[in-house]
Amino acid sequence: MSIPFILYLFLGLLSFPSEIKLEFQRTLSTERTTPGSPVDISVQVYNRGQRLDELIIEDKLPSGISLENGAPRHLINIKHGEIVTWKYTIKADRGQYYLDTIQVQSRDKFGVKRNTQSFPTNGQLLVLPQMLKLKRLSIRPRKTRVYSGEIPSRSGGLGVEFYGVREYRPGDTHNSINWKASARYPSRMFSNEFEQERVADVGIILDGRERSNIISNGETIFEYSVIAAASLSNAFLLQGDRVGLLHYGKYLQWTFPGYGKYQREKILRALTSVVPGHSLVFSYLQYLPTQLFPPQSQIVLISPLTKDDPEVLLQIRARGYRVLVISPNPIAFECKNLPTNKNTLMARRILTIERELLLRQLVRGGIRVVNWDVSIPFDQIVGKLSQAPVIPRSVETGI
Amino acid sequence: MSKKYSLLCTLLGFSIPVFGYWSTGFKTISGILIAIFIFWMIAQWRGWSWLYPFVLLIGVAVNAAGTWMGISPILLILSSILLLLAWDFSNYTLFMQLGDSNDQIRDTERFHLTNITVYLVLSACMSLLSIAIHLKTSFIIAVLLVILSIAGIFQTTRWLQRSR
Repeated sequence: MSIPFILYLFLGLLSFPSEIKLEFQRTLSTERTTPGSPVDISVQVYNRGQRLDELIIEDKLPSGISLENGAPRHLINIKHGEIVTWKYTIKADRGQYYLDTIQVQSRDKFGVKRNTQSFPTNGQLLVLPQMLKLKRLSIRPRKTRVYSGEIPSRSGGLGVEFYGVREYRPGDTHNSINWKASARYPSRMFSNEFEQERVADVGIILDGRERSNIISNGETIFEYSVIAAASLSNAFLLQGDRVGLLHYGKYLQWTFPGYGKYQREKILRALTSVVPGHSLVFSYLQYLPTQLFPPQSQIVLISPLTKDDPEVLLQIRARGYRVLVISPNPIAFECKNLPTNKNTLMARRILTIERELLLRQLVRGGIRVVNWDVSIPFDQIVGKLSQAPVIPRSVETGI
Repeated sequence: MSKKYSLLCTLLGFSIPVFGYWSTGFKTISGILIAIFIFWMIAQWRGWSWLYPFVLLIGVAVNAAGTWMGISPILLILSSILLLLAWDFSNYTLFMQLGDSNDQIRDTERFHLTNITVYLVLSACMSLLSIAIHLKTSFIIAVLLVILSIAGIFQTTRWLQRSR
């Protein structure tokens, strides 16, 4: 009676493939994309060795990637010299993904012996944060850099805006002569002076603290902060400003300030991999390393804010920095997923009042605040930032 | 397709010893075998693959015992082979689920069926030959040998599956 079993085992072992000589080629329709955009992946298998039957070939997908269409795992029979190709479509969350392994599971004819082998392949997918096109952003830091740009520099020279009147100097154009002022003094002439427009240093601080970034219905408000950071850095860089990025979360991730497209790429890559995290040291903003930013420059903080934050922000303001706070509204974000009942409405009302007080505290300290209801696109909210900043009296709100 | 074959093999593989034990008067064993058959069906439906080897082991052990109770050895060997095929098809069904619906499922199944047919013919021939040779051992030794060989095969299979 044991003969059938022994024979089964014997035939199984006899048919096990001695070696697998496969070559893989993976092609991605794009290596850079935005969250939620479909990416087509094509996998090509070439068999250099003997005929292989009942092979399970799986293109291992890292977590964060979801399947949209097709399948990454296939059961194939492949002859010597044959090429088998399949395609599938994926969608991915923001992040950097390495598609570097294809797993092959081979077995004998009866499944007695199985073997799993991994083949290294090349493949990288960069899912960059969404970057919205913003209108011109008007900021007025106290100190500007030497290069000409779009920010009024509080010094006379070539520019558009009238700055003052000074005595005529040889070389001044006829157009710049202030004839009215000159007419009052028969022996002297005066010229109009315009405000020079320069580029500035902008430091973007992305708050990645776990305690301030709430999660509601599997979605985190941090993603909105990342969108804001990407859009703002792009807008400032387009204006010619020198932009640096600091991610303040589990640890400090600093992207050194720079200009232009290269810097934009650096910031986007940094934003691709940032995640909110908890750290005992960086739970509060008091350890914010402001020395990284040039004195009297512009600081943009993107944070949902907690009740302890205004004190630190006011200290930064007192040190001479211009501070702009973009605050994704956590109350509105969370309430959209909560049932509308008496208790929720009451809680929302109380929290809104508390938040209003917190934001007013900042505004009174001379900090520009944008209260962003994330259900409204960011480019619509920051439209108000295109107006020249005056001494802020109210919270610029998206509600 | 392999699911249907698995069902057919399980049904035939159990019905032979059930009939054999029933006709020789061991109705309780027949009842137990029917219960095991139902249990295997449930295991297959729920996908409890870890249960398959145990049920096969019990089935073959009962068949081995049947040879000393006057049941035809040819039928019992056939039942054992059918139970082994049922086990194979059950595992194969699970294996086929790893592939995509657009894969060459039919061709692969046909290929497996061909292999199984070759195995069936070979094992039937060899078993018949072994019956013809007539090696007589005591009941206890025979049962122990059968259990040992099956356990040994499962251990070897498991070891081979783990090894890379």
